[in-house]
Amino acid sequence: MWPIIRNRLIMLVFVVFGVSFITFLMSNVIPGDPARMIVGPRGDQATYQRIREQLGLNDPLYVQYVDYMKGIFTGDLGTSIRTQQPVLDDLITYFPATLELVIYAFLFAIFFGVMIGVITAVKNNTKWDYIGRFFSITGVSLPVFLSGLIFIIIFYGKLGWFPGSGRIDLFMELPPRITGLYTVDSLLVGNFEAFKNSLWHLIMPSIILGYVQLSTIVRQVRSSMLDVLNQEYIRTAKANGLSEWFLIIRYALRNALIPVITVVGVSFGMLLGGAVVTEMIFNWPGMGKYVVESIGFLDFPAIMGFTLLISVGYVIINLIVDLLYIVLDPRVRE
Amino acid sequence: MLLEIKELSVSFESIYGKSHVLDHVSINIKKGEIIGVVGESGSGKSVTALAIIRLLHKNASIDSGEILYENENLLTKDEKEIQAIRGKKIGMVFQEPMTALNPTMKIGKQLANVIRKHREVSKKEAHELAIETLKDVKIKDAEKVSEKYPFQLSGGMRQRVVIALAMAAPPDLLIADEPTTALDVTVQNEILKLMKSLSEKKGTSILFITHDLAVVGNFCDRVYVMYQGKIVESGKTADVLHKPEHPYTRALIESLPEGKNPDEPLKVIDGEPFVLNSRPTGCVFIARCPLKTEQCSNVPPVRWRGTDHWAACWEVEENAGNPLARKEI
Ligand SMILES: Nc1ncnc2c1ncn2[C@@H]1O[C@H](COP(=O)(O)OP(=O)(O)O)[C@@H](O)[C@H]1O
Ligand SMILES: [Mg+2]
Repeated sequence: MWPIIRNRLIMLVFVVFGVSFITFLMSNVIPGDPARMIVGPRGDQATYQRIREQLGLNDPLYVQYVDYMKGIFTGDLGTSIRTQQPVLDDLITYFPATLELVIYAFLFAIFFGVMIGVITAVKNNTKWDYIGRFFSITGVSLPVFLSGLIFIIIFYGKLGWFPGSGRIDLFMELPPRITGLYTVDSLLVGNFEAFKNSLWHLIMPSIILGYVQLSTIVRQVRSSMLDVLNQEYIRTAKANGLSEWFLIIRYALRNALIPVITVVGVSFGMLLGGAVVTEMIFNWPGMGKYVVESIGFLDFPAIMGFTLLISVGYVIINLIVDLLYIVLDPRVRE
Repeated sequence: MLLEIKELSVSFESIYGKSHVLDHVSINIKKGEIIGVVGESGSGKSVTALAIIRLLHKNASIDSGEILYENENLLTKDEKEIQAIRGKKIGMVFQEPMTALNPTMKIGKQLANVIRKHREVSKKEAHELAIETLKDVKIKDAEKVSEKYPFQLSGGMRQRVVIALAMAAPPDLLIADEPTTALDVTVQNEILKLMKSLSEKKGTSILFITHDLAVVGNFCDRVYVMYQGKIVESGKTADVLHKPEHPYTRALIESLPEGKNPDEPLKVIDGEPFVLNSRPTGCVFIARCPLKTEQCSNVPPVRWRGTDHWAACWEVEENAGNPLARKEI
């Protein structure tokens, strides 16, 4: 187990170097002048030069890069041109909102994905199989902006069941910032009103976001489960008199999930990346909105910080995937 | 009679059409008996075994016959009733010990699950019973082994565990489908000895399936010789081995390496078994039989050679007729 963690950590260093190098290069190749964006088209030449100096834009490229790398390893990702805040502070402000949305979307996708995957496999080629597969395929076929709007129109506009935007009601007392995840923080301090309210806000966007990944998970779980159900040990266990659902849950499921872990990990990464559109539709104050606005402003420090964060996220997901293999499959432990 | 298979016919539906795999197979097992079913691979032995515990593949259909367990027809039971019989009344050991156990569950846990299915015991008691069961199948360090995963055990050990699972209830009948085929010879003998002693200790009957006539010798009380889905000869083991009547049984015995000059080439049976969807109408062995005559294209009669011993062949002469059973098989 420790070698795996060590290898992933080594990989993390390479990823940080690689990604920062590429984003740094891109920020210098893409036309656009952040200093000009700050002073505006009518700003005078002296101010413009002063700002270029401040941003280090007049230094040779390698000096800029070394400065940037020094910053990364001391926790300084530069200052956002748009918000004038340290990028790290901005990320800490906006990232938890995205993370919370992605986690709930993920839980939704996993829970229903595994459930539908198992049922469609067990009821292979019956109407339940077709219904389950149709339901999950709809998720990838419908673009998020469309399904999101439909949901908002029906469940917010017509029925008024769920709030249509934001993380929490405006008049609600915010929980103290511990993890930045409202549902977690509010539970930690025992503020159940805030918990309920933020959970309520999470339901629609996380279903919309998670629905896209549902069909991938269903497909994987279904085929893996079909495979496992044909294994001899399932037949042996049946011959030993164990009942069908006991077998499915206690014998087949765990074995079927092992080959699915990787795909599920990738799914989580896709959710992180795919959250942008969902956040725009539900006016969710997360990374997605932050990044889209930063791009419009050619805010390179912010964009680079975001990219780095997502890359590190991917490495961490991979680490978790590796660890899950160890937990689920005793053969890997040796 | 503990188990009576009566005139069982099974066929498979596949893209090549319907193939008749079992053709009016009848097998009887008394309480405490060890019965052998011998035949080349593909003759339908596994299908017979799976039919008994109703685990036949989805594309199989039972065309005729009954399987009476203590006079109740297993074929008409619903899924719940048959589940109560599997493992508890009839245990089953399969050929491949490498894949017969759940790879991600500890041995002790797998046993405990089965024990709790058959007996009203707590989790803790089930675990203790699991260790007892492991000791029953002569596993040393039963406590340690119960904490292991299947991949940490040798083939022979795994097969002992599979037997322990099948004997956990313990059942009245153990079906062993080539339980030693995948194991090397010394381990084979240990497993056979183990099954024999378990059978004596617990009073469990065994339906022992093998392609290897040599194994049957000092293990089974009676044997059935099966060829292409048909029982062609049956009798006490000694009779069948020493006074074989059916040309197929004789060919099987001649192809055994035992007691032969090692330089002499082994005899193989000439010809190939027929393709299953082109079953001959008469004797199933007709294409490969050295003694065949014209009448062999008609279904051969059962010819009795002793009170227990018969062969289904035109060329066998009847000498000790059994008036009760003069019917075609
Ligand atoms: N699921 C299946 N579909 C079609 N044919 C099958 C199936 N299972 C077994 N058979 C056929 O039934 C015959 C008997 O098989 P089996 O009982 O496994 O033989 P064995 O005596 O070696 O155990 C074989 O010819 C095999 O091809
Ligand atoms: Mg077989």
